[in-house]
Amino acid sequence: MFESFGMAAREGFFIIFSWPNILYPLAGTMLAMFFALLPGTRVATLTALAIPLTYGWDIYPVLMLFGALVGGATFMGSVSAIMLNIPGTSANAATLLDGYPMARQGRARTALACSATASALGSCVGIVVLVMLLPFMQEAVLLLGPPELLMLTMLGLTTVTAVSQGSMVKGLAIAGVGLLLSFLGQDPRTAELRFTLGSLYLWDGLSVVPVFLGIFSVAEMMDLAVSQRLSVSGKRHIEELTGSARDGVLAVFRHGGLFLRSSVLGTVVGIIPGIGASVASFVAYSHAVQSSGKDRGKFGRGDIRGVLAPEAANDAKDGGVLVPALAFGIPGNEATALLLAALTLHGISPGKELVSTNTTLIFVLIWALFLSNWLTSLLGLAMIGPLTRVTLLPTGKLVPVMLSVAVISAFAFKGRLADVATTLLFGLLGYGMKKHGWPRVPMVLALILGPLFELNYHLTGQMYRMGRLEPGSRPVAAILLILIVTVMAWGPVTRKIGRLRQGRVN
Amino acid sequence: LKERHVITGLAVVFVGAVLVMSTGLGSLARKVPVAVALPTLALLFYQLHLDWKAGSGRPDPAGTPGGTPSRVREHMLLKIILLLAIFIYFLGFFVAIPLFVFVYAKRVEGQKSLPAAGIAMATGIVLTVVFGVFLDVMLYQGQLYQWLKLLPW
Repeated sequence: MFESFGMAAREGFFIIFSWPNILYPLAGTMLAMFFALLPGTRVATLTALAIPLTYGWDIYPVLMLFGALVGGATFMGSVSAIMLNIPGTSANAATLLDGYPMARQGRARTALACSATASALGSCVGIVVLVMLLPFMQEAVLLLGPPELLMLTMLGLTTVTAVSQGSMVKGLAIAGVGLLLSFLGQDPRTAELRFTLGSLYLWDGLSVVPVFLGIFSVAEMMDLAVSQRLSVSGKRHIEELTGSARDGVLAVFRHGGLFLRSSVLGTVVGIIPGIGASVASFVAYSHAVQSSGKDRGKFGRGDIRGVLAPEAANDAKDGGVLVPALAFGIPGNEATALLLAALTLHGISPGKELVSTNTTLIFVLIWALFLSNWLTSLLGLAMIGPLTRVTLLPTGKLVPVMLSVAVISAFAFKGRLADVATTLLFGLLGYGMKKHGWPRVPMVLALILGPLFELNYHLTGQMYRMGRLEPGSRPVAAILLILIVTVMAWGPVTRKIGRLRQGRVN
Repeated sequence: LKERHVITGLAVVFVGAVLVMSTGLGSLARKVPVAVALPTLALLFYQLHLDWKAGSGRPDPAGTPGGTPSRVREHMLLKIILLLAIFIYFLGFFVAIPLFVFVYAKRVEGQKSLPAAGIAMATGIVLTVVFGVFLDVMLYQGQLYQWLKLLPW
């Protein structure tokens, strides 16, 4: 089997790196990069637009284009997270915890270079794990059922609250509020309307994009305007910025162990459908914090490891997301759902047959993913100079433009004026939260994970009532439960031990 | 009520409203919201208690007569954002955005009319090209435009 994989990998390589085929992944990557730079615009929209365009194409160019679209956006989402505290997607939200403080200290170059390098190398780890899992991917995915998914959503939420700035009480409470916001609209089981106050706008629930734009983009711009900072970095000239791109690249190798562990964590968590993409980077960030020992206090204040870990996991998860998609046709996120739609349109059904007989197709997709991840990172490294200048832009010019982009993006999302009002309202809320030390990331992540949490809560309950949840029958769920307890207890326990030690020294 | 209690207070009101509204729902539809709302409310009350304890000795910035410079800017920004919403509703994006940028540059940043108009024009052109032409997004044209269409001439 591995011999045939080798042949398929070679064949896939020559298909993709031949003329004019190479143009497809290049064009896809460029388009995805441009889209990912605009806050609130989703690459899934671009992927959806590409489906009718590629209807008459051969399957190889389709795979090359879609692979590039899936992989091309990940790094660029972190650029706005580092420079402006506005994550391109929820998957980039962990990067802002340390990336933005670095930009404010004038070290945006180091953060961007570290992010680009960790992204490129992390994607390689993800692809290697994907290739290694190809023969066993169906068995691997079958280990995950509703109890595991429920535990994973809870792990995601507890991890975020444990590592976010502010107190854990605030983090947990605001995550609860985020979950409740996600319950607005129709009940997934009975279709009964909940908490809509008779508004048609809330029938489908609260959309994540306008909330995201408000909580991050509008709130951040308000904060910049009120603080009267000269610019994001507080400096005017490029010479005043400290930190070099070289430091950022070298940081990945200096913390090689953390990079490798974060990449593997990202790939493994990325395999879990629907959850992986948002949670992977937070799990890696949490691991970085918890494995840092005495340096724990540096996180959240511009520690390079806080950029490295989530970025490595974030790009590594792209490989993981393809595992359930190719093995079962279960999409891990919107972009892979559209990739599956494109495959089906071309008469290819995911599953055992695709994995065992059409391996060349899979490798064309893998190479496209690999190429786009490297291309975005290399272009990112090449553009560090001009990108860093964003942190030097006078706030007087940056704020109105970014506010305008935020409201237009909110409207462009579904063409509803009410989304603009939602963005502005959540912008005011986000500003208040930032001002009074309430973490914003747990609320947004809870809003994203809420529907999955509720669905899997009901399914797990049903399994229990049917007698299908016997003790010891779900080892993965048990491990995840232990992890949740560990994450929750870690902070208070280490603080207590620290106090005891200090008392003994005194 | 002090400013630092506002977020906690808002969250308490929201979670309380969810709990009250849950009573009118079917047992299946309210199960998870109630299970989440109860511990959240408990945590929020605890946070309110912590806020109260921490803030009892400190003066609240909202209570300062005349307000601090940042408070003045906050109020101005609040008004400008409200103005943006009104501009968009009545005038549509193509007119509202350059107008907002102009007002922001003049009022908040205290710039002169010419540079402010320059930034407003540039923003309007870039947004029109990116969203209107390149991305082909049908932007809202404003209530005023709709009303004008109803006029007989």
